[in-house]
Amino acid sequence: MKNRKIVFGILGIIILGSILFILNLFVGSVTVPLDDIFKVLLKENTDNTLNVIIFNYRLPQALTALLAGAALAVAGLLMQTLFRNPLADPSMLGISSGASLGVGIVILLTGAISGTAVSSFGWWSTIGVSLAAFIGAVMVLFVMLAFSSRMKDMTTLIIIGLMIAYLAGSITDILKFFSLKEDIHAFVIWGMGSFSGVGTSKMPIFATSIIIGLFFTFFLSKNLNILLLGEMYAENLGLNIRKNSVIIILVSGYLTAIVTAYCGPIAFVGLAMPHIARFLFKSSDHRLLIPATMLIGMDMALICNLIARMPGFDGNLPVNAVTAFIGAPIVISVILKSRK
Amino acid sequence: MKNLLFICLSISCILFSCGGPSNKDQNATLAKSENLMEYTSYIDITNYKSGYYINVSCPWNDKSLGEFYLYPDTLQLPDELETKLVIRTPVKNVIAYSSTQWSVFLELGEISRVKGILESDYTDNPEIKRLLAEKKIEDVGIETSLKTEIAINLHPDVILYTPYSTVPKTEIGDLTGAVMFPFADYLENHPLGRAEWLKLIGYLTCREKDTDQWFNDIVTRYDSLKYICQNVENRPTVFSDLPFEGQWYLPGGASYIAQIFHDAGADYIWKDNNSTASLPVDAETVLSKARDADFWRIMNSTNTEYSYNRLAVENELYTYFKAYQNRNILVCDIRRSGYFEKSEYEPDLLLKDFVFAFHPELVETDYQPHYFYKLTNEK
Repeated sequence: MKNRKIVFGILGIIILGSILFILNLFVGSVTVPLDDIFKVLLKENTDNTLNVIIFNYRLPQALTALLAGAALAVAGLLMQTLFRNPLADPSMLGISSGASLGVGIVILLTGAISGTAVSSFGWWSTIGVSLAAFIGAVMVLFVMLAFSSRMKDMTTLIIIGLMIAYLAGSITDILKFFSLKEDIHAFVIWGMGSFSGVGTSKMPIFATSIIIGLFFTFFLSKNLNILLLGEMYAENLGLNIRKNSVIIILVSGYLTAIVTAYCGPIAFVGLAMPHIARFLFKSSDHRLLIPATMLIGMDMALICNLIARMPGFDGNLPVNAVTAFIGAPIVISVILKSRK
Repeated sequence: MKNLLFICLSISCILFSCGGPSNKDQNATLAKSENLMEYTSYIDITNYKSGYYINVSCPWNDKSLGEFYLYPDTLQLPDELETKLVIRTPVKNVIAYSSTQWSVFLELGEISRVKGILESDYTDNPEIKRLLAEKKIEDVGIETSLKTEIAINLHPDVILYTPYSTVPKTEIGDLTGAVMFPFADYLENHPLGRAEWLKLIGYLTCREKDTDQWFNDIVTRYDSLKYICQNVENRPTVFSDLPFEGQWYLPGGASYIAQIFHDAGADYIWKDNNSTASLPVDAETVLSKARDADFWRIMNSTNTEYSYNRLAVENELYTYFKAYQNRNILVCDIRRSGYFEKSEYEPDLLLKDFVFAFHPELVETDYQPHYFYKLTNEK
């Protein structure tokens, strides 16, 4: 009986995701008449601009949202289980702040040293920004790994993570203070998050990196389940706590780093989605929670992307504004319902 | 008792200020005298006795940003101006917030009056760089963070500031003892209105004859070129700028650059929009509306040159635009051309650059663009 419910639940999320994905392709600030959509799909003779908008602009954006949503949600789940803290998310390890610092250094410092305004340090700035975010995130990740391999106490690790986040944040602020206006503007916009940064050209690298990370998470479910029993039990069951936490941090940090590198620091998805998964499936079994969280993360990111590009609205809302705006009420209602 | 005293004082103040003969005279003078500014929307200058009366209005609401009197320092100040904000001319120590301010002093040969500038990192002007190095001009920080102590030490009589809401003008004015003058040039949406602000520097330095001549020449050149373009049969379409993180920030249809496009005999794709500010527009909207536009105007703020290949690497969506495919992209290298310092006072040259691109037959064949040139670099 329970299995049937689970199967239906998962199927429901997948169907919802598919509908959202299709909506993402066909709804946007430019209205595409319904019959034109079929013409585009059937590659019939049609206005070429629609093809470009749907295949070269909306499709990569929807795919980015899908992958980023899955990656952030599952990274959040890993953090929450590892730290046994329902408020844990990837930003807690200082990884997002590390990425921001990396980007800050590229956008802001290069401007300050050379006196050249604006992030657009030529064409490589777009690539440079992603690379800097990744390097920043990975640096913090290694620092955290070094601590986690020495320490068993998860609370201490959370505090260290938060401190590193503050440290990185303050260095970023100092950089901002000495930077040129255009650079700060560029940095602020990057910080708002966007799913449109990947595009068709960078999609293969982005997708491959994310899929590799997501794939690894499936192997962690057994150890995550053991961790839920508490560290003492887990050790008694033969789990190497330190090695295990290093692996979990590595996988979750890797996923966060990639997403932040390409989409900016996207908040909330990592924190909220695991709660929704736990509530919907009333389970703490990671063999179920990992795929469920990924799928819910995908759906959520697609909803957000859809709202950010509302039809009839010429501009693109910042993704970060939308994720929290949509996500926060959902999480509150989920928590209230589960406490009843 | 205290209250009573206060009320008595207030009433007497009101009585005096309303009934004083000097004030009546002043209003009468103001009503009669002619506005010396022809194209500006946010500044009015009128003659007042041997000086000038200036009113700067606020672009965001109907309130005034300030009323000022300029009065020659060789003459005795009329009594009624004792309580007003008065700038004695010619000014001696000026702090300039933006390059559009000091560039006029420089052009007039009056740069020695400028003692401090802001945002000095942005300038490549060799003369200013030399003066900064020789400490004849001080770097007074940036807009968001003024080096207040240095500013006080310069004993400015006037600080020309850009009227952002974040500038703590009262505090800076109190600390430095200077008159804070809002220089709202960048908010003017007519190219000639923006250029006309140079006349203010003329009044401040008692060089109004020179600046009047300077400005009138600009108007003549601008208008004659505009006139030639007025009746062109074919008006090419044009759009502007590059996106950041999927979002285009396009100039509004009533903006400065939209006006120049229009005067240069082109149709800006967003000309029907009546905003003066920039519009955040989704990339797909730009693609659907501007894909077939004939020209594409781009600002390059880096030190390196753009090329078609570099644009394609930056975003492959660019390659779908007709202006890209037909190699009709107009680029301005901001730093190299001194765009922010000079273009405001050379709107005729800006206009000519665009006319040269849109209607080359209307401009001499060997014309060399000053700001916007057609991008030819492939790699």
